[in-house]
Amino acid sequence: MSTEAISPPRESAPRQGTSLLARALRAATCFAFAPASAAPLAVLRIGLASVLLVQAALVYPALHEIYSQSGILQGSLGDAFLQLDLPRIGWLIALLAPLGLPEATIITATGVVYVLSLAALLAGWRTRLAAGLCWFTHLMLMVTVDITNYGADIFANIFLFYLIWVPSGAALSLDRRRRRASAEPTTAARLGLRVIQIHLCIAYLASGLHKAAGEQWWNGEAIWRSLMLPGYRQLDFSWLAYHPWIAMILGWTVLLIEIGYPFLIWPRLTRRLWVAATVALHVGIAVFMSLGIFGAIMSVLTVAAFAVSAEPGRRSLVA
Amino acid sequence: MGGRGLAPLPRDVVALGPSLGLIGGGHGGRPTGRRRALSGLAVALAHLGVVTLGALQVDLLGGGSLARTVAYYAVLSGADSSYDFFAPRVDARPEASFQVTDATGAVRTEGLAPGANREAAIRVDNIVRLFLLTDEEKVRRSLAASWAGKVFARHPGAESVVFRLEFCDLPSMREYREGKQPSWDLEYQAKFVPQAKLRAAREAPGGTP
Repeated sequence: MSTEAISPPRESAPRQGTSLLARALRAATCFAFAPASAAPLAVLRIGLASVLLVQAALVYPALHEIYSQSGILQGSLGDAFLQLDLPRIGWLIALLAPLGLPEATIITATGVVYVLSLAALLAGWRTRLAAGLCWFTHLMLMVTVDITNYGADIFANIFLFYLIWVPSGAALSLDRRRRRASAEPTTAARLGLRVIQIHLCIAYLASGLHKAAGEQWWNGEAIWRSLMLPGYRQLDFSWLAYHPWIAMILGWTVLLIEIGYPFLIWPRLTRRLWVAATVALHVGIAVFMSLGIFGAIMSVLTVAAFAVSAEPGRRSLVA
Repeated sequence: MGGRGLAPLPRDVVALGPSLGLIGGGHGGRPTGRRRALSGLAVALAHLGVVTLGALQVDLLGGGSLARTVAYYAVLSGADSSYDFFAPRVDARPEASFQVTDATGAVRTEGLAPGANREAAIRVDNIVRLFLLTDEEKVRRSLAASWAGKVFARHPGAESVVFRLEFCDLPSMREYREGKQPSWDLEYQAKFVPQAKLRAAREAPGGTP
């Protein structure tokens, strides 16, 4: 079947309407199911695993301070704030109590499993199993001290979960080299990529609309506070108070990038500009608010989902 | 990728068409493949529906058993996030500090995890936010005492530790231009003394009962 075969006939209005509907539905089918290369999913897998390995190395020195019951959040104080009973390190401790394993050993073992599964995910070795282990151990660490989580952890959780289900090991992986995964374009790769793309659109739109509901993002105060409040402040931006229009324009730019994301990331004409603007936004957050891991994860997500070509047979990775 | 024009449909997509009622008939297709694709689509749409509920900040935990099941799924998959980072306003983060007084009376101030790198420090600082999630004095006191205990462990010779939780009052850009400077608002303060030292002080002549 070709595109011409479903071009709208011209005889009558009802037929034209039906044909337009058929055309739209055909486009929707193609959008969701046209077989795709797994390259974007592989870039997502490699990028996310790389950033999370760096994050794990940074958190490692404080591992026991953060996750142990004799750490900063002692005893069961953290449990008082839990809303849902979900898998956490406390479960493992109770489960392995008959073996007499100390808490410190269990925390270290959880960290080791997490890092090894991240390495396997990075290499694309037993990719889905590695993704499953990564997601589960990451979730356990998140739930154990829920209050410590921030945006980087939330997005890592979301996209590790996706990597269990999408065929990210079908490209740039050991599974591919060992022929455990097929390089053929698949409908699963397309559908998985679409879900990831739409999820990112929802996330950016929601983030932009939540910001737009507050006055601070319109008058520049949000930028001023992000750069000047202790906890975020990296450089002295007090001069900004004498040029408030700069802060105001930056605030509007953030709103434009985030609210515009679901509309301007899709058209070919604006896609590269929006990918670049989104990455620039996150590089800015990384540099000026010292949120490097968050900035790296968010950049990886947009680049993988929208800047890497999923079209079968394309030699270039760039969309 | 998105935004491309209509290309000729590959065979398995054409096979899927009639079952979806999207494309004119005349094509067969393997029922198993179609079922799998349709199941995949249904799951994807349901998942994105949960993602949308999360973004709209719909509270599923307060609902019935089905809503609670969906809430569990949403938490496990991360679909419960509302993405309201730095929104609608950028608030000051609580800053915890500990004033450690040693036997000579010298005072030094430090944080909860001195020397931690930025990624670890973000997590430690976030733990401090627990303070703001409760009004119960007993819980607040327990949190402060447990953190003071960590500081005493680092400084075994300390006479006392004063825990302070403060917020930075950052003036607006206009106020800053008019000369107002950032200041600190005290949210909570508590002094902790090792029990042995407290007992000794009480037993000393003229000590408080």
